Amino acid sequence: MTDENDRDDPLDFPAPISELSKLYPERAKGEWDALAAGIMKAAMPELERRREERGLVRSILRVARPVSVAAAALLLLGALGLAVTSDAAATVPAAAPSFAEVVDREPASTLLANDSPPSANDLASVLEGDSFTQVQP
Amino acid sequence: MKPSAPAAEAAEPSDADLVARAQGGDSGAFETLVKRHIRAAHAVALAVLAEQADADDAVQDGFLSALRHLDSCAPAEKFRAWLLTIVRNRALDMRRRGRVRSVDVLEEETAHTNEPSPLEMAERSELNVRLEIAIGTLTDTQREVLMMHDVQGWKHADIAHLLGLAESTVRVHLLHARRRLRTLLLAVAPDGRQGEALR
Repeated sequence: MTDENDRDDPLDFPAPISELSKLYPERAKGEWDALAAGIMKAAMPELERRREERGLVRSILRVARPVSVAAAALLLLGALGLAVTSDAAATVPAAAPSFAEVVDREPASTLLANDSPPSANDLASVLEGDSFTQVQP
Repeated sequence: MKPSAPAAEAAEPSDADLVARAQGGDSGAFETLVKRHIRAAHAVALAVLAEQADADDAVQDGFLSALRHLDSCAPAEKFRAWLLTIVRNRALDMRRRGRVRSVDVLEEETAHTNEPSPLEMAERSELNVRLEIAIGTLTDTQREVLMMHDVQGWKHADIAHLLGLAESTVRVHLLHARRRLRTLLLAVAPDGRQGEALR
């Protein structure tokens, strides 16, 4: 019953007491089986609880998984939509009118045709377009 | 033809696999764990309590406690060491609380199982009682080391690992335990016949 390390023990190391192992004889296989069966019987409620808990978690996952997938898809679509909109707004710059376009507009061409110099309001009207409110002198 | 290693592994699931399945309530997996480690667990409990029936109780309580707290067994590969620690703590707790059965019950069971002659029974019973008394005088660590090494056949290194001691310390405890047992048994049995057990 001793291991190989005992060979390293000093010579005066007392030997094992032979009667000690007889006091605790090796058990028969049937006794081990009976002890194991007793443990399994006592463990059944806890194992059953764990099975039910696992089943509940699976049920929740079964419902939650499609919902979460749908929510994720919606979020993705929303994010894509925002990205596309902001990209379009950023890539289309406001077209600035060229000098020829400004000159060819109706008020400007009329002013150029007149001999009298234009007033400040006339100039503002030409440069700002319809949004400018003309101030009567 | 010798079976290949993967085939052997498939036949014998690892403790980690069994723990994972038992966490989900797989009774077959837990039963395999019980049958795989019940002897080691019993050896540890017996080393503390020195009574078979008490050790049985500690083993059962230990396995049930392990099952209840199975989610905290990490890493799962260390299940055996984790379980043995639980069983040992349970046995130590039982010993502290005095929840042990009487020696008389054990003697009745042993006598009934082996069915020796009346004379043998008387001699054995007397020696058993003396041994149990002598074991009872050892310190807790001396008793554990003695029982694990001399009764269960554990190696010094395994005992040291379980008890959290150095191997050299385990050897010293074993030395003192054997010396003390011999001294006590010789003191109560000075005649040569009863001293035969010490050889």
